[in-house]
Amino acid sequence: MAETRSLKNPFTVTSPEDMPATEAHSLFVDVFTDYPKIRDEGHTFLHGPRGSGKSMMFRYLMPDCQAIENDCGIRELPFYGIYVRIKNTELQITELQRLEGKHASYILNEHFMVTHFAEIVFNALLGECECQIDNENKNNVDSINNFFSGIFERLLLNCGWAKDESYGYPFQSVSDCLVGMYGICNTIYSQVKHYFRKLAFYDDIIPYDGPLCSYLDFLFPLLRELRTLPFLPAGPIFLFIDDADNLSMTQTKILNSWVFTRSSSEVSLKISTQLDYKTFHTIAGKTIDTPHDYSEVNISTIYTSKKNKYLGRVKEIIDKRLKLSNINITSEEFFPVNEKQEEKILKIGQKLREKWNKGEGKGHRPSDDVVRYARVDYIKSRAGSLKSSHTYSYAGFYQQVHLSSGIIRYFLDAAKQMYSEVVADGKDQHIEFIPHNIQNKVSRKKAEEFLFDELGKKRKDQAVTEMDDKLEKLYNLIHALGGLFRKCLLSSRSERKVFSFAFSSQPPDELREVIELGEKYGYFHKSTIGRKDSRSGGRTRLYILSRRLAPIYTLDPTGFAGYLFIKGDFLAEALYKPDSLLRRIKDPDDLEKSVQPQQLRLFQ
Amino acid sequence: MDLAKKIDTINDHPFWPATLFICSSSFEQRCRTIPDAINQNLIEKALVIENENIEQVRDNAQYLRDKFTNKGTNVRTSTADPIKTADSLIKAIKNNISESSPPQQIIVDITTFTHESLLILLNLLIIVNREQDSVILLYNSASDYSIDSPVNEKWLSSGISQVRTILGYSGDVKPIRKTHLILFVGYEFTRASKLIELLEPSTISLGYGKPGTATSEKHEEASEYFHQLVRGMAMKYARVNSFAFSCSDPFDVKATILEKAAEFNESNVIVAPMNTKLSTIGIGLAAIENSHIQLCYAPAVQYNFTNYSLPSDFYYIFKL
Repeated sequence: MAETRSLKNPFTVTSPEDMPATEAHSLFVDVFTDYPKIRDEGHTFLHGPRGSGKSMMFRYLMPDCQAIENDCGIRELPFYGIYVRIKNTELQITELQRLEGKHASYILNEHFMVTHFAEIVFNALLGECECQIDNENKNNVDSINNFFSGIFERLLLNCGWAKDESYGYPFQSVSDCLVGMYGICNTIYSQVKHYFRKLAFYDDIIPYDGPLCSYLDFLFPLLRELRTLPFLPAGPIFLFIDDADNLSMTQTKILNSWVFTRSSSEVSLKISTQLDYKTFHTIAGKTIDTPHDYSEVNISTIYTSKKNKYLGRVKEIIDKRLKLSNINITSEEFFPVNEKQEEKILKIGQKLREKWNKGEGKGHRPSDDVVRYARVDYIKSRAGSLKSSHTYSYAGFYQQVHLSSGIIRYFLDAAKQMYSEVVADGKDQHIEFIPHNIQNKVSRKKAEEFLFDELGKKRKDQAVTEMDDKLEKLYNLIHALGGLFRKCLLSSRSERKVFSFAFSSQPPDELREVIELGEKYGYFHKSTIGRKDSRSGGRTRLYILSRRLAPIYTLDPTGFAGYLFIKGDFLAEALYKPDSLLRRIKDPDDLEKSVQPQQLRLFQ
Repeated sequence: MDLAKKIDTINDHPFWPATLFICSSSFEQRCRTIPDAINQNLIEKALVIENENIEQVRDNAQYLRDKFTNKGTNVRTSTADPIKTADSLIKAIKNNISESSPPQQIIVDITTFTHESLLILLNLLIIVNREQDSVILLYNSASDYSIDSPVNEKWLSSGISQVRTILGYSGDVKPIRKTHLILFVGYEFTRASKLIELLEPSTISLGYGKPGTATSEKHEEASEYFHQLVRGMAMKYARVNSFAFSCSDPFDVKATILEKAAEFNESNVIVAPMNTKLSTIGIGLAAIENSHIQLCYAPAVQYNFTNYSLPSDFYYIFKL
């Protein structure tokens, strides 16, 4: 029972960027056992859908949070992290398209990126001056003055900068010097932006006569030498570059060229993407490869293939949030199941055990049959003569975790809405749990929003653009797969809990493109499975439908389910005529004949 | 500025004749309203803008070309290529106006331009405008949007394929500042919501139409409904404040934006036009005066082609 209650929503999602260090530190659940490479020296790519916790990881690795975690000053930290968020319309301005294929595009884009990053670096250091750095310590002041004249100015002069004043050198404090360096970078950055604005309405080449800073000539040596300052750690600088998908193609190639330099023992680039990174080519036309140039982490793959990891993580996060809100009960108690429904499922489970004990079971153990069949049999029983499968409830912590499909933000968003609805009901000022009917209602609504808001209105009109056409096909594909998985659930086959598919024959390019689009929008995740048949061996790609869609097709989202091997051509039909494809499978037990030539394999 | 006038009085206005008349073809029938009402003898030359990547505009583009016959020039633009749009408009303007040209009376029917192409054109016209020239903007209001749909089912377009800055309005964005988004929401709830999700601003100013300024009574009810929807959604992401703007007076909109930008002068101010073209002009004027303001555009994936809008019998007029 809770001791005190707060009506502040415990599931509010704050942007990690805006989060104070104490809050970020208290909320964070250590996930680095899952992703050890992120904290290690070396360039790393971190891929994951929006809301999967990438920015929060970066936030936690910032010096202020790390100082709390390690109970030390920043000087003692193993690395110094600087957060660089690539916002949607900051670096990718339309004027830059004038340079494409014409005139110093790479050089000017790199200069733009480098000065953008440099501003962020000096601003970050200025922030440390407020609490972590002894601003007027003689050693610190002398060191930074030497850095200013011996490193910073020298590097800029080599890049063609025209020094026209002293800028306050020698400075009387660390912060004054940082302000001076920030000001110079800001002037250079503004100069190039001003140049880009001139390009807007002129097709002709306009000469640029400002300095040109590159990563190797300016940013990298600057960051490398920053480490020698007495108030910063001696370890590497980590640049946490968040949302690198928002770079243009040219800028992406430039960033890849930085990765290619392999200077990671001094400066490590930690780059996050939302699965839409444009290319792994460099400006020289080479590719950066893993593991030689960088390590790679895909959050979706980890959390959709490791059975209980994600469940454990979410429980830790929610337990923590409840505790911080003075709600001293467990996640399971706060998100209770629909008791009536679960009792019925329990009874079905008992009957399955009895059946197994009589030798009529299918799994190795009675619990295998219970896990595999109890819930799906219940859903199936509602679909029969009762025709009330739509009444199946998705309440319960474990179902909610599975519905969030490996993305913590989805869980938090839904939980936040549920909490708000309970508050709005106004019946009880002390919220100790979310009623099962509210959990179910919000889950179903979220599923519809996820599918229909994103894919827009399905119309019979002709698509206006290629994208419109692809989105329509994506909708059709999801509709077909949802229907297929539903038929699996209603069938008598040994594995009825199906959420994934793999191709038994090469899919057409068109289908592949639509699936990729679906992955980008979060409707599919990718993983791999081992081919146990002797013909091909190796591993094959597995596509997992987002469990957020389970309520639309009344599927069981729990556990890690089986998959279908599907012929590429068969599924390609779904892009155009999903209903006709589903109608062809009249008898759910006919599924295997229609869908695949091979026997269904279990996931494990 | 003048309030709405009856379209059948358009030829009586003293701003005629036009040395250059500019209009944009569209899938909307409103693209024909003002050209149909004009006495063709009052126009010396005409430019017909056509988005070549949208098939559904072709019929009306042909209709307008036929209407202006040998006075008209087709200008091909693209919602997928803002550089092409700009270059086509620049070429068309240069072909008709030069330093040595006699005084120009340029009249633009802004009704069915895309927000992006309208803002690019606005910037160009201001650049080339000489003291002796006049630029007059005309707008035919809609009597209904998403024809005959109840308010809670109205939609004009959906989906966002990308977000980009508008050429000429890149603003002065500083990487260390937070983002403040100013959004003028009309009927475009889902796209506005998606834009907020993509831009992840720290703060949002959400504009809603001032009572009495909507170009039709029907729009007022819808404006309030969609404003509340977007507000509810936006609060998941950022601190939101609402403000009223005039749907029919671009100069009022300009003043409102400049005021908002001043209020949030410690942030990077981004404005997304998603309301009437009249308000879009106001947004453009504000961004031209305060070059720190960035304007962004998010092309739609789908349009409600068949039921987008119905023309009204009124037009608005103002002079730049």
